[in-house]
Amino acid sequence: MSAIIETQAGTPLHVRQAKRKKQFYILLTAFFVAVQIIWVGIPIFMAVMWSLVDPANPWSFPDILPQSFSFEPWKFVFRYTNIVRALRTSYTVAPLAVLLSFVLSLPTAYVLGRKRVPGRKFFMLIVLLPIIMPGMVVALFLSRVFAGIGLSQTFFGLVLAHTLMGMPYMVRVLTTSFASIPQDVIDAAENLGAGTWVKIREIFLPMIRPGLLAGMIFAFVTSIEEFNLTFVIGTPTYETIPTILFSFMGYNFIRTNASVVALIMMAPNIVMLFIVERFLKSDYLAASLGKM
Amino acid sequence: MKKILAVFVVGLLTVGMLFAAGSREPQVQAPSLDLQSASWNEIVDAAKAEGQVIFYAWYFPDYFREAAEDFEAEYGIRVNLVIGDQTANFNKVIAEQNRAVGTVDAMVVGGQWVKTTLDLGLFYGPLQNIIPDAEHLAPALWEMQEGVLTNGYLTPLHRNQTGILYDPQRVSNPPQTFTELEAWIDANPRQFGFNDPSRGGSGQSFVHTVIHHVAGGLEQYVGDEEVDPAKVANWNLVWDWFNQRKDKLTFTVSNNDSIVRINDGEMAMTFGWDDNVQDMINRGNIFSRARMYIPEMGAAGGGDTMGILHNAPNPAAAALFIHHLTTVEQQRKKFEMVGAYPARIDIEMEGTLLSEEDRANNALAWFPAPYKDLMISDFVRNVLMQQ
Amino acid sequence: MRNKDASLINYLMLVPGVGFILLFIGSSIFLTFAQSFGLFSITGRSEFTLDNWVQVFLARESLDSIRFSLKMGVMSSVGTLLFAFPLALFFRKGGAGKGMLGSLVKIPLFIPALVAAFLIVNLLSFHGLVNTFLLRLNIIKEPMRMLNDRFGWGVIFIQIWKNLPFVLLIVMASIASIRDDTVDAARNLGAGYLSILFRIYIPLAMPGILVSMILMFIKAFGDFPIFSVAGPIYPSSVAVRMHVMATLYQEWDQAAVLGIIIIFTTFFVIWAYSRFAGLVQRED
Repeated sequence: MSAIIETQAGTPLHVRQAKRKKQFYILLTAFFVAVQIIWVGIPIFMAVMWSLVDPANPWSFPDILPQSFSFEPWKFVFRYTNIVRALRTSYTVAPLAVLLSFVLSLPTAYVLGRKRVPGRKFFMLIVLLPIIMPGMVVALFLSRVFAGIGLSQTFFGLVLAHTLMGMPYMVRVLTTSFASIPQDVIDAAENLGAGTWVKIREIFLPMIRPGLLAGMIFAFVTSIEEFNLTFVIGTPTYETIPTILFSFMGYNFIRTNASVVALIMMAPNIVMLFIVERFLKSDYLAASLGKM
Repeated sequence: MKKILAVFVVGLLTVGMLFAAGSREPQVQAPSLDLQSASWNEIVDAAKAEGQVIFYAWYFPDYFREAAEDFEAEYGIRVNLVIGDQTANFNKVIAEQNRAVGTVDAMVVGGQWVKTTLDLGLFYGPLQNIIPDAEHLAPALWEMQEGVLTNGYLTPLHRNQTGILYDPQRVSNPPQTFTELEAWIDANPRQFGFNDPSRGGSGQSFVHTVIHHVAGGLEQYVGDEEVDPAKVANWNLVWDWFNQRKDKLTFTVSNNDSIVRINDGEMAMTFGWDDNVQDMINRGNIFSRARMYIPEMGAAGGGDTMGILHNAPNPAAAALFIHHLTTVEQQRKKFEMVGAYPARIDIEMEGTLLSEEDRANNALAWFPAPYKDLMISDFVRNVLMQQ
Repeated sequence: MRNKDASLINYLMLVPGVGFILLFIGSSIFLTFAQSFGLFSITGRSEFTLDNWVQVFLARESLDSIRFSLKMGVMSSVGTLLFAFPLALFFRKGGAGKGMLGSLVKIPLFIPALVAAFLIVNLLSFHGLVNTFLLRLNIIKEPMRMLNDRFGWGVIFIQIWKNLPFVLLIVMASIASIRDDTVDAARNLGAGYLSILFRIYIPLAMPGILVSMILMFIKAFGDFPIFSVAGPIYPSSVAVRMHVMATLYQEWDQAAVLGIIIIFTTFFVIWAYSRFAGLVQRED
């Protein structure tokens, strides 16, 4: 049967099917990319446009695009705000907070994901509290705890604060990753005589990698965006980017300058994202043992 | 195992509580000087000894930065300036209210927060007898801000005023009296808008003006410290006024939203704050042809003030910086840079967004704060909730 | 699968995570709880009373706010999942250019919520791009007023826009751990695509789906910035209501009540989601 088809079409059926399937996926990818460029691109394009509005020649109805462009909003932000200092603070605190939350979360996530400890459900709720707490409670009460320990106005305090706010994501995502490691893989490794360290390095770490990447991105973004707590315990000694962003987005909503700060805030993140993705070559998904 | 769990949780809670409660007494520095009894020269010397001042505001980063640079050049005292967010600024000082020495010296105080800050006793004062030139600053603002008695604790920074903002290309004959406004709204449905009064002062001002005209004048409320039920009994007429026109009015979500919608061409006329509008024009966020006036029907105004925190680390420098911001030179500079109407009453201004005649004839004073609170909650309940 | 294990070492391993969080958060929650009963009030008073709770439950504004935020939380989390899950399945396979797409998709993650809200509002405004486009194509005669709609579609839309990558990342990690041989085995047994979806992908990805739904609900339920730009005129979100109670009406203790309600409502929804997830998984 297959021989007949082979002679008819010149290529085996399954090869043609695979080829068609591949073409279908390429088309689908192209479609998604096009949709994403509109979906994400247009709002960002708007931000860029707003950041280039000439104060002397405002952008108003019925203009679809600004009539003239200028770098005034950019100059304004660099001249009158502490944006450079804030950038430096934000981008030194964030990696440290990510690292610390990873280190602190790992054992907890392991136990919550793989051990049936009494009170597990309760602990799973507790770890969510930092993000459930309303911003006002964070600003008014949580900040007092930091001040009470003497962490207010210190760099370490800032790192701890950002760690705390990012932990819920890290712990819960890692817990799910740990929980989804098949027991037979671990058993097999143990049967082969793998020690704790080998298990961690050869099984746990590779298998939680997708979750870890997600958790790290979330912790990083949380740190970059954290405002309520940072403002109370950090300023005036330390200022982070959201402080400057909010100064343009609060009572006086200055869309031009706010767009500048937002773009300054986003740019390093997006560049970093592309580097990380390139570095991991999108194989981080396939790398997990689930695809073996 | 339950026991371990319980001990674990309780133990950590206790430690946390201790941290929260145990206010680490920081290096309590004896107040360098009693500002109330010291001469101004002594205050200036003490300020220089303190060497720095920490000041919080949430707008005009350009003006405050330059004012700080001027101050540093003149006195050699470093200004640590934080332009944050209004709510965040107050959250910070409230969080630090029980500390012997805080981290903020002085800050700008906006209308919405006056009552809270005075209730909590956040500020040191009075300042009226300390700041030189106090008599040249708007006396009404020394006494009362947005219907709350401030008793000289808060120093006027600039005056602001609500009024009607409109697009002259679409409104040729802007209404002056209340009847004219009613007719204009009928003729131009949804072209007039104002913001939800629970989310911004300009919307409050519009409802305030409607009460003035529909409920029999604002004079009756003057001096009351509590709401007199008899005087608000006819406010249902006010809510009826809004409900009858619901389809012809546009409700916006903030002071800024109103201005943005004028720029976007959705509305032609709105209530707004003059300093807000001027700032938006300066930054290219609304077309410069926008015009603003205080109609004959009246619109409320007020101002922003500055206060020194009761636990300020550098109180003398704070007083000196506040004085610096209220000098003729700085008040003028602020007007030129950002268009904020000065708090000083001894300087003449030209090129203001609102005309001096309008200010003299049509500006209203807010009715007392308890009425304002009731106005907002009743508006939400009787107008917004009914939609 | 798991060892029933309550040994001390396990609790010790919880200390850096759970302990750290509890140490900082516990007292804040306790203070909020105390204040909701009038104790250690921010205004300096301290007197036990149930009045704040009664006031909050008597005010229709507060109840409407809670209901509205619940709706936003559930609809935003489910809505985001509906977009994210098919995308995640696609990423499991995908063709050339997947890496590029993967990076593109994640960009909104790095845009602060308030900025995202104002950018989208720009597009949806009365004379924004969407209305202009539809007018030019003669699809509509008059610009539509899409902002601050009463239902909250604007808020949901922005939540989905902003948080799609968030949910996607978690679901993707979860789907990645499904083994190809499981899927192939099912296919060899003659399972159709739908049946593979409902019998294999969804149940096996359930832990990830559940976590993403929970985290997403928390974000949308407690949302302040997106609501303040794109939310309806009435009712307000519960976080905004809390803010207004404290700063506009100086009812700090009632604000604390709302804070406690936010926390417990969230717990309740997490419990409900977990139950639901449990049902789906058991079906398998």
